[in-house]
Amino acid sequence: MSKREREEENAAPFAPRLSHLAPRTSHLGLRKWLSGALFALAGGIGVVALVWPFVRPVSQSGTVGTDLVLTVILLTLCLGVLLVEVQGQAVNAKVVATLGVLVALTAVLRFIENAIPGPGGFSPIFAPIILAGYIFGSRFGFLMGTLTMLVSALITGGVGPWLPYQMFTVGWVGLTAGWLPQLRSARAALLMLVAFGFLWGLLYGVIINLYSWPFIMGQAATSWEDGLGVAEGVQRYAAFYLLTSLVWDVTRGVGTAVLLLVLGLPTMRALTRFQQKLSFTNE
Amino acid sequence: MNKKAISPTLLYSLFITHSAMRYDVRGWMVWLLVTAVLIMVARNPLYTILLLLAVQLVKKRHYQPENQAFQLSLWRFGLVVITLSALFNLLMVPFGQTVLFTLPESWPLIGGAKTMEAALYGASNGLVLVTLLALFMAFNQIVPVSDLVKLMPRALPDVGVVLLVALTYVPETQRHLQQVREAQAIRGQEIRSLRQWRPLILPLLIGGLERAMSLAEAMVARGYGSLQTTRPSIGLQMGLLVGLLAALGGWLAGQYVGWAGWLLLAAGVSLVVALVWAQGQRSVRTVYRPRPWRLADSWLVLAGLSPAVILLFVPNLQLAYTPYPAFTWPPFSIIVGLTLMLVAAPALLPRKL
Amino acid sequence: MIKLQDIYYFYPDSTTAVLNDISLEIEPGEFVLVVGESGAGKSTLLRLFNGLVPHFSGGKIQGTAVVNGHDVIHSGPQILSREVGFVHQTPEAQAVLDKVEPEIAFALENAGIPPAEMRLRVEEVLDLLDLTPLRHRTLVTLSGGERQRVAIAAALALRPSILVLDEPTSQLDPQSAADVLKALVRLNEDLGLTIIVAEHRLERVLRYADRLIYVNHGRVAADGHPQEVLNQLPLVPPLIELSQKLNWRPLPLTIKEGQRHARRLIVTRQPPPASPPRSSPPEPLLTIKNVGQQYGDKVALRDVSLSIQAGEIVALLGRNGAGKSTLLRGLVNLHPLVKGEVRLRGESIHGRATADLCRTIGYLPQNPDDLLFAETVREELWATLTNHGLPLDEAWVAELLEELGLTAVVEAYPRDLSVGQRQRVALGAIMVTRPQVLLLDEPTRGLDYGAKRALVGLWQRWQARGMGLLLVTHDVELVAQVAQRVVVLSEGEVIAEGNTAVVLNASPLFAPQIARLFPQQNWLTIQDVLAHI
Repeated sequence: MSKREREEENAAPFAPRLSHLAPRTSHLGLRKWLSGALFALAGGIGVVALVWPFVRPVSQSGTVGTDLVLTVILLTLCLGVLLVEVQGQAVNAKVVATLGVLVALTAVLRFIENAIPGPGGFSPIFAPIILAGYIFGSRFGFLMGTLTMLVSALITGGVGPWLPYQMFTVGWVGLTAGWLPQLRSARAALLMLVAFGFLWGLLYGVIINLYSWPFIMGQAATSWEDGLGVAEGVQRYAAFYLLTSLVWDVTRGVGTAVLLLVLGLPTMRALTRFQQKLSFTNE
Repeated sequence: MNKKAISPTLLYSLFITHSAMRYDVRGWMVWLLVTAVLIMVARNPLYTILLLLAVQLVKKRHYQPENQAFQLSLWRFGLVVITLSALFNLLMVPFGQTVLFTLPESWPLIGGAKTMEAALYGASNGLVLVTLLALFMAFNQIVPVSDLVKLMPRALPDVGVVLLVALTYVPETQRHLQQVREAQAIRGQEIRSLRQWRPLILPLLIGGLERAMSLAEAMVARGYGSLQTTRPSIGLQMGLLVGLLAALGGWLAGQYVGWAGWLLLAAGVSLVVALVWAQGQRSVRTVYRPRPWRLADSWLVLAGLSPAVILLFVPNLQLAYTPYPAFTWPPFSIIVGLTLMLVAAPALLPRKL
Repeated sequence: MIKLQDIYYFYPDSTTAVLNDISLEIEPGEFVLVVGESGAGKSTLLRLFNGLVPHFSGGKIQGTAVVNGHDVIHSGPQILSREVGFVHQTPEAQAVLDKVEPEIAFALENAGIPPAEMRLRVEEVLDLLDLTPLRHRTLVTLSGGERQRVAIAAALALRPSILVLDEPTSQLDPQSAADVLKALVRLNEDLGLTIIVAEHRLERVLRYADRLIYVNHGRVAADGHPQEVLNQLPLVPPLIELSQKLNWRPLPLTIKEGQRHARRLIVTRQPPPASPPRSSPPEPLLTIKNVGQQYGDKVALRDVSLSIQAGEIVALLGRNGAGKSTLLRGLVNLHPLVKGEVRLRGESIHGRATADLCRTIGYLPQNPDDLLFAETVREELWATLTNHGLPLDEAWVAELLEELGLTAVVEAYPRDLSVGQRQRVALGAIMVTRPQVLLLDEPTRGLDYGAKRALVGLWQRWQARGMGLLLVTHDVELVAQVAQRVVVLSEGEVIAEGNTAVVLNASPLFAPQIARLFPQQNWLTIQDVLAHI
């Protein structure tokens, strides 16, 4: 081939050479369905565990203690299953490194949360997780959420029975952010994320409080044989608890929304720019 | 900004663990679980105080000095929790016979007779919370982060690497944050409002992402991902689904039909655990300098299990106590008390292997 | 054995070929130096050898590349990692784990090497790179050179026969760089490892290379023995440039060889330059008097005094950790000095806030990327003005950008620019407040000769306008070229101060190539030599 010919060919697009590198796509439909079912089921277990203390039959003689142990075990199980599921589908070296670095960054943010001006209850970790989930997809968001909680628990010595709840819940924050529609207008997308962030900030507090109130409540509802007004006691306690913690939760929601509003657009731009590098297509 | 909170030297210490031999982290897990169950079950303030003391004894003996960075004062925190808990319960729970005072019935939520029993119950419940917290604080201080990371199931090799990368990059990110803060201060930037976080967060984020790319490149160049078989097969997915379904069904059914439901729950849990374990066996990853199981680890497991085992053989066990409906002194059995003190058994083991 | 044939490569979404008709063969055991400007395609070429290009970077490729019998385009980096070890320039950005031994073992763990063999292999590379005393250390406590050696060890753990390094010393100080290069030479000579290294600072590597490949615009512009190829490079180290000008044959690659030629030049011994007349020295722009700094118990600066006149460039030299950056950070009150006095035009600046100070004392930190966050180059300059509450003087911003040579990229995203351009954007963001003093912390780190030359031109123009510059650097050639005075710090104390020629000639440690070539003279630059011959 002469130099000139080669240069001419140079200008024309090359034939695909790396097609064999594409992942095998057998049973894609079934896989997708199974994966969806796993997420739905795990989510369902989470919800049941959450509302269980309200609906459990009073006649049962089991204690809140064993209930708590059971919910922790079940949630850990769900978490493990989802991680196995997500890991297999979304992970390569680029994603691993990016996740690692972003998780570290968010964990550091959480670590300095008292440094960011804001009243109690405010936490800066939701905004980055929502943004990452929205831009990089729900699986990335899920991993980022769960691992951020895990890493910050590890570095602050905060490993405890509450950790699976936190990991699970924040994982869902990132996961659901990935489900939001990709809007063409950046501003519209930002407003959507702001609303989304507010809701999750609020919801996270409610969920974590609901999880933790049986701890705080102890066995009041069950250990007392007469069963006098048990349901009422539970409800009153819960109502009071939610009322008092609502202030905190609203702060968290508003804080997340404000953070997204102020820093959302440039961050989204930076992440979107990076996304092209993250997910190149081999031609 | 709070200077101390992001001082770059603060976090290094977390990652410096001495190579001196430590106990196997699984031994500590056994101790943790047994003690947690005991704290939840033995709801008698006298026993709870014993357990709290035992936990503190073990911590005193085995804590790693470099894990101390984030201690909150247990005593101050405990006092606040117990007081608040007593106050809450006093206001919220209308049970008990020793009436202290009465609030008008028309007040929502908190109206009615306020009893000493309710306050006492709240306080003792607060004590349980504090003890649980003390237990986990002790665990966090005894076991170094690097050992905790090793508990990551083999079925999650990539997630494990993410975790390691993140832990490596936490101090790195802190240093970087400090640099960016200085660089922006040089440009006359002062942080007065949230908007001014932009020049701080963006270089940190973009720099981090760029670094992530070169890190990924370095990992790939060193063969990362060559032998990964992490993608779950359809069979595995189905198995996990069935396992979770069984666990959920069993849990719900257990409430109504008793043991059959619990059996189903156990089966579901076992299935999931077995599947995840089997998936882990497919991973080819090996471990550098695997830590052998030592005799001392067995001693730790025995020590951790001892209170639970012996409790099974104490007749007429009366662990729970409630001040309702009328206050009585909590009962105290010497045998039970001594047995619970076995929680402190690991404190008898040598500090280092 | 590497064989490339007719390789063309395009990055994703790009229509310009980064590698344009490249064919080469590299024999086992060769020590190959790859040179070329930033962006010429060096890095891309190096990444082709282990399949990162195209497998990691994406894009389109054509041609055949075979490394040790593996087709690169079909095998990919995972398989090639057993044949080719790869190290890139930033030591911090390639460590996965936080300690030396686990970091080296990482690749072995992933490859599923049995623990017993893994122990042996880790032991082996620890020895090869002299890392045994550091084996239990945490990486953050190591110096840049030590970290880079750990990176090399980690790359060698899989026992490749080829080692590829992309500018491994560009972020290091001279001492660390020398350590790393020494390690490479040993690997090449003792084990017969093929070494392929890209490097900007030729003077460091030239003497070790068997072969020099000059890459320009994605093509191999020259390839062969260093002495032949050097003649075709546009920018070369002072020794080579002088040798070319004086037509020394064969071309000397080391100072030792050069001195042989130099001695043959009959030159009269120069008297030391007369000290400049000290009649009523003007009031200095910046006076630093007996300043001290302390971190905990560690004294970082002890009674440091120096001054900068208007229109003067003063260079601050010293080992890593000598207190150079500490002094700069203290001057702008990032970390308040615990002792002493700093006067700007006779006025004490004690207690003034960093933001306020930096309007008159510009400071460019080591990593310019930390400054950049805006969407465009112009906004980057505006942001500084806004911070200071200064008016957005568009004409001035345009003028400054023009001067910085950034007019073509005003609207570009700063992070997408080349290292040299980013450095100048950062400089613009500092200079936009028209400071009278400029503090520069290792401003040429990682830059190629061209980018360096552009910076030097800028400084000299600003200097002519009466600015005072304090330049912290390890680059003695740069100092020889631009500085009027030199201050040497060691362990927080000033150990030498004075006229550049006197200080640089006084110590072989800091002597530039020309001074080493003519130890009896007081020459520093090629111009000095040519002026006297």
